[in-house]
Amino acid sequence: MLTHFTFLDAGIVGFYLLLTIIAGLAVRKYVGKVEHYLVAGREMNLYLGIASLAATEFGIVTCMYTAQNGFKMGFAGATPGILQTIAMLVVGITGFCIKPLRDAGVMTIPELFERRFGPTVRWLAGVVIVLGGLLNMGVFLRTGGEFLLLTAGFNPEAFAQSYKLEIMMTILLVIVALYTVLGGMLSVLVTDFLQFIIMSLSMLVVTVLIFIKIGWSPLVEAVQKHHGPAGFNPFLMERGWEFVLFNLCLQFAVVLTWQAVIQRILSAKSTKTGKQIYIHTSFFFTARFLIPGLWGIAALATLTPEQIGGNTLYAMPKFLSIFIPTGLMGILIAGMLAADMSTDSAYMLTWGGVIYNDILAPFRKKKQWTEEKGVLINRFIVACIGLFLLFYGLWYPLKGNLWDYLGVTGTIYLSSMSVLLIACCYWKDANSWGAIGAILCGAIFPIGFLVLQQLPATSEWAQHIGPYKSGLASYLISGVAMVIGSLLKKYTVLNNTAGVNS
Amino acid sequence: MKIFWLLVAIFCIVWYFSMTFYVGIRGFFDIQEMLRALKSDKHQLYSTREDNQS
Repeated sequence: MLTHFTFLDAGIVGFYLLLTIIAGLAVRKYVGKVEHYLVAGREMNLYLGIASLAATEFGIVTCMYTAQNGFKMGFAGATPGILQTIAMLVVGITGFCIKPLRDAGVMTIPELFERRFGPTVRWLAGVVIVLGGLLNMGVFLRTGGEFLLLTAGFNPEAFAQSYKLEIMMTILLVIVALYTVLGGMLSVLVTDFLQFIIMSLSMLVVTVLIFIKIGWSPLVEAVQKHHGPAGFNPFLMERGWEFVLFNLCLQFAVVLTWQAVIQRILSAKSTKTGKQIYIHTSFFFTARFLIPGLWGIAALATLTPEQIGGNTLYAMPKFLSIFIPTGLMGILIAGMLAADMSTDSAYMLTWGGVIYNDILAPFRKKKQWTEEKGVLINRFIVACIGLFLLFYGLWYPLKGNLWDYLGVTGTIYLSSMSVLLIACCYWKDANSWGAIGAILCGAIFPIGFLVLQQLPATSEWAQHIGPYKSGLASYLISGVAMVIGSLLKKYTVLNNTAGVNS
Repeated sequence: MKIFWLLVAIFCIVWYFSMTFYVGIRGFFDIQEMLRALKSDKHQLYSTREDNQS
C-alpha cells in the first residue's frame, strides 16, 4: 500500500470536519418558518451566493468526470466548461427566464408552472425533477468514497471486503444530514462558504504544484502525443460538432433549470442579486472543467498504462496519490471532502424542497399546515433522502456504465423542464397539453435510447446514432411536443367554443 | 490553440485565486448580514403570534 496520507493529514481532515459541524449546527436556531428553511428567507447576498453556487456545483463526481475528460480528450475536454460560462453570462446579463422566475417569488420551478399550466403539470414536473435528481445523486456517495480511498493510496477493492468504504461514507453522510436536517438552507449556505474556501485553496495549490513540478510543456506534449490536434480543438474530435452542440443545449438547460442552481437565484435578496451571482460565477464553470482536466492531463503525462489500469476514471486519483506530498494530502482530502459535502447537503435540500413544495402541494391545499409543521415535515423529508442515498447509492451496487446512467437521469429532466420554463415565460399560447407532452417526450426518448443500447439486437444501431444525437433529439422532440400539444388544445377549445356558440 | 489553452489556464488560476480571496472576505460579512436579518424576522414572527394569541 503506497500512501502519503499520515497522522498529520488525518488531523487536518478531522479539524475541518469539526469546524463544519460546529458552523452547520450553530445557525439552526435562526430557522423559524419554511421560507427560512428552504430559501434562507431570501436574504442571501451576492458573495455568499457566489460561494454557495460554486461549492454546490463542484463535487467529487464533478472532479472525477472532468479529470477523465482531460485524460481522454485533452484540453478539448474542458469545452463544456467554456460553454457553461457562455450560458451563465448570457442568462445572467439578459435575465432570460431567471428574471420572471425570481420576480414570481416562487420557491421551486414547478410552483411557477402551476400558475400557467395548472396543478397537474406542477405535480408531474415535481415528480420528474425529483426522480431525475435523486437517481442522478444516487451514485455520488460511492464515487466520492472511491476517490478518497484512491487518493489516500488505498485500494477500494480491498476495502470492499471489509465494508470500510461503506462505513466511512455512512459517517460522512450522517454528518452532512445532521446539519442539513436541522438548519436547512441556512446551514447549507454557511457550510458552503467554509467549504468553498477550503475546496478552492486545495484545488489551486495542487494545480500550481503541477505547473511547478511537471511544467506546461510536458502536459501539451502528452496531449499532442495521445490525441493529436483533436486534443486542443473539439471540432476536430470524432463527432466533434455533435459534442459541442449537445453540450451547448445541456449547459443552457442546466443554467436555466437545474434546481440546485436555480435555488440560489430563488434564495437571492433580489432579482438583480440573482443575475449578478450568475455573471460573477460564470468563469468558475470554466475553472471547474479545466483545473481537474489539467490533473487528468498530468496523469496522462506521468503515469504508465500499468499504473492506470483498465479504468480511466481512476487515473487522476492514482496520480494524486503519488504526486501530492504529506501535509498537502490532508489539505487536498479536506478540500475534496468539502466539495462533496457541500454538493450532498445542497442536493438533499433541493430535492427535499421540491417534494415538500410541489409533490405534497395537493395535501397542503386541503388543510393549511403551520410553519412549525412545515419545517418539521421538511426535516423529515431531508432525513428520508439521506436514508435513500445511503441504501440506494452506497449499499446497492450500481450495474453498467456510470456515465450512461448520469446521462439518462440528467436528460430525462433537463430537456423537458427547459422547454417548459421557456414556454411558460415567453410563449402566450403555451398550455397544459403542450407541457404534459413535453414532459413525457423528454423522458421517453433518452430512456428509449438506453434500452436500445442495452438490447443485443439494437445496440449496434444505437451506437451508430450516438449519445449526442439522441440527446439533441430529446431537446428537439420535447420542444415540438410543447408546440403541437399547445396548438392542439388551443384549436380544440376554439372549435368547441364555436360549436357551443353556433 | 495551444496558446489559447495556456492563456485560459493562466487566467483561470489568477481569476480563481482572486475570487477565493475576495469572496472569502465579503462572503463573511454577507453571512453576518443575513443572520441579523433572519433574527429580526424570527422575532417579528413570534411577536405577531403572541399578539394574535392575546
